This record gives sequence, structure tokens and C-alpha cells, in this order.
Amino acid sequence: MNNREFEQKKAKRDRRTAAIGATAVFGVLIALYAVLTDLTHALDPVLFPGLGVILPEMARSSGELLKGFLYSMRLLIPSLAAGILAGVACGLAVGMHPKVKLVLMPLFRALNPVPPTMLIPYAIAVLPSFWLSSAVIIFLGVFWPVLMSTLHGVVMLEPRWIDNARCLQLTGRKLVFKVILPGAMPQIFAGIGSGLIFSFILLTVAEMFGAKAGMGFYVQYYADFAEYGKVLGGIIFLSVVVILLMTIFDRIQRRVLYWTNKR
Amino acid sequence: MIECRNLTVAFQNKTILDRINLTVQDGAFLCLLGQSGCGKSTLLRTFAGLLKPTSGEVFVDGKAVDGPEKACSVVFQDYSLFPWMTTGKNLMLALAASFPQKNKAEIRNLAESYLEMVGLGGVFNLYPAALSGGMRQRAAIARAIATPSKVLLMDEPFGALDPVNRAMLQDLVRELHRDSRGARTVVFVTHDVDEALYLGTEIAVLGSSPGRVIALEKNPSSRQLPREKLFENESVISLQRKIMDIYRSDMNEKLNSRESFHSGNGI
Repeated sequence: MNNREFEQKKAKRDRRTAAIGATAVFGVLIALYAVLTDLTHALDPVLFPGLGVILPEMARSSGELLKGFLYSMRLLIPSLAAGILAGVACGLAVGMHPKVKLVLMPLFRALNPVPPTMLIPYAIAVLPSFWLSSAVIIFLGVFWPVLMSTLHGVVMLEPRWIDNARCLQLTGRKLVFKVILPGAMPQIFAGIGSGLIFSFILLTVAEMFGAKAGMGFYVQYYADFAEYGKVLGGIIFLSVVVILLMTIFDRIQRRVLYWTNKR
Repeated sequence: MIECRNLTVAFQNKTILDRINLTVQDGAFLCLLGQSGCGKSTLLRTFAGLLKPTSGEVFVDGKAVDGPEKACSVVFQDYSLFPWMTTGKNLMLALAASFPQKNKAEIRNLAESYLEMVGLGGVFNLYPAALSGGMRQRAAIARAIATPSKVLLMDEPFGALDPVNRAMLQDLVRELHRDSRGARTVVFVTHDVDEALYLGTEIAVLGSSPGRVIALEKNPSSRQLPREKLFENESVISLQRKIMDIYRSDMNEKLNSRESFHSGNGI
């Protein structure tokens, strides 16, 4: 037990160090920006407005930013969830049947690198609504990395765990949910991680067409009017949201993959 | 009863096990003794149904083995527990597979009582990684004996343990086998001659490349003896000597054959 307490304390200390360090880095960068703009006016004031412009601009349009946040989440979360679920489900189904995998793998290899953004014209033309086309684009961006990493995770499963499961007579759903899925979880999470980052990029791209609101839309919209104070404010807001979402992801990952930390 | 007839296992033209004929009577404790790489674990895997022999057959209770059976439970060297679930959940998983008619509370009680039986009262909610190697093997043994299997297959279960833990677990396994009063048959793989002498009622020595049974000895006296008296007993001492001689000549043979240098299989 003592050991455990010690490790918990160490983890807490590490987290604090990380938080302080990261804050310091951000602080220095912000200060540098302030020096280059507000204080010395070294940068072009139209393209790079000072903090004195950006911060009040952010405060003034906080309602609009919040609305953008909600719109973006309404697009992001269902697409993300569907992409993860479909990727894991297909990855498990295909990965557990080596012959099916052998047949489908070339197709996956061909489709996986196609950038979802290339499919935007088709998505708009074929699907009934802009929302759905945007959602499908994000879905694809998440689906492929999660699918590939799940397949990888199933392949990488330790043969000894499979032996062990066979000796316990585990079959069907028990085998999938108690052994294969948790055993492949480290790889699956790696895939979700890259899918998540990809989804943020695709979110802003997808909001460029047909969206009426959203964080990406906000940035795009005010860029057209050359209101760079609002543009930078929108980007800062977006970054904060991304950091928060990544922190939540990290927390979930640490909890689910608890067992990998101490091995 | 376990019976194997003319059992041969070959991988890519290399014969690992060559025409093994072996019978393990009900209630016996058979130690499979041999150098590393001689195929003793492979033999155990064919008993467990994890590996199909190239030719020949294995019968457990008169039934030809074709895939893992309920009749056998297996303790591996250090991976019998899944690291992503707590020790208790690991036991519950095995128990739920063995007793589909029992409800969750009954399964839980059973798991708790078996953990207590091997001296692991407080670890139900701990993950395997939080346990020491010895505790993990204790839990693995609890899992194996909790299922109603007649045959217990153990693949160098104490190979990675420190001497104190190893001795304690040897005592535990010996006690459990004695208390089963012939209801449980154990096949125990080890390379440690003294371990085999302490635990086994029978000892099969496997020679290497290819693996074959080069001696099958009964070890009737050891069960009556406590550990500290074991090597004072005449018949145990002479058996130890005999096995060591067989072991040594097999090892010399292997060293002298040039194959081991080229294949890098070593000792």
C-alpha cells in the first residue's frame, strides 16, 4: 500500500509540474506577443492586433463564441462517437477473422490515405443536408485511424492471453468484451487520439461550407471582413476548447488503461 | 487419466517431440522434467488442447483432445491473470464460464472463498500488477482449482519466483493435491530436479532434440516426508542421483552434437 501511495503522490507532483510548466510557457509566449504588438508595434497592427484589441473583442463576442461552441459540439460529438464506435466495431469484426482481413486489407490500405476533405464535393452532392455532409467528413476522419489501430491492436494481442482465454472456455461476447477488446485497448486509444486531433482540423474545414455557426465558422466569417482581432480571439477560444477536450481524453485514457501504467 | 499415444510435434521439419507414449493415472502428480527447450511445455500444451500434435493423439478421460477442454485447467508461468481486471474479477470470469447456472453473487462469494483458501484474503479488488509474483501465482492456482476440472496442468508455475515464495507455493500445491484425495490429476512442468522430487508422485524425464521420454520413475516416498526430511531418505536420494545422471548424459549428448552450436538452441 505504501508503494501505491508513493506512486500516487509522485503522479500528483508530476501533474503539478506539468501544469506550472505549461502555464509558464504560455505566459512567456503571450508576453512576447504583447511586447511585439502592444508595446513595440513591431508587427503589422492590422494582421496582428495587440492583446488590448483581442481580449476586449473576445469579451464582447462571448455570446457568439459560446453559440459557436455549442454548434461545433453538436457536429463534433455525434460524428466523433459514431466514428469511434464504427471503427472499433469494424476493427474487431475484421481483425478476429484473419481470412476476411486478408481480403479487405488492400481495400483499407487504398481508402485509408484518401483525405476526407477530398470527398467534400461528393458529400454535399449526395447527402441531404449540409450538417450531414460535415458530419460524414468528420466521421471518416475518425473512422479510419480508429479502424486501423483496432486491427493493429487485435493483431498485437499477446498470444498467451488468447491461450489463457481458450483454456477458460471463453467464446463469443465474453471473449470479445473481456479479453480481445481490453487487450487491444492501448492501440485503440492511440487511434482515437489521432482521430480526435484530425477531427478538430476537419471540424473547422467542414464548417466552412453550409454552416450557420460554429467555432470554425466564426474564424472564417470574420477573416472575410478582415476583423483580425475577432479572428485571433476565435482561434484562441478554439485552442482552449481543444486543450480542454484533450485533457478529458487523457483522463479517460488514464482510467481505462490503468493496468498498462504499472507493468 | 491422461494418455498420449505416439505423439509427435514438428515445426517446419524440426521435430520437437518424437513419438511420446505416456499415461498419467487418475490422482497422480506427474512432473515433466527436462532441460529448457526439450519440449516439455510443448507437451503440456498438447495436453491442454492448445496445440494440435502433428501426429498421434492425446486422451483425457478416454476422450480425444481436440481444443481446450473443461476437464483441464491451466496455470501458466506468469500470465494466467488478465492485467486489465482485478484479481477477483479474474477469478469470477473463470468461475462464470464453469458455472453458467450460478448468479453473480454466488460467483463472487465463490471467488472470494477460493482467494482466501490460498491465503489471499484482501486482494479481491487489486489489479494483478499490484501483486507480487508469488501472490499472482497464488491467485492463478486459486483460479485453477476453483473450476471443477479433474486435471490441473502447470507450466513452470514457480520458475520466476524467489526461493522463499517458491517453497511456500510448492507446499500449497502439494497440500491441495493431497487434500483432493485422488480427485485431481496434476501435470507439472519444471526443470528443477529437487522440485520434481518434492512434488511428483511420478517423474518423467524428457530428453532433448528431439524431445522424448528417457525415463519414467515412481517417487513413492516423498509424499510421506516433510521438506526438511526429504533428502535424508534413501530412496529419494538414489532417485535424485539417478535422475541427475540421466540429465547429465542427456546434456552432454546435446553439447557434443554440433547441431546445438549451429542452431543456437544452446542449453
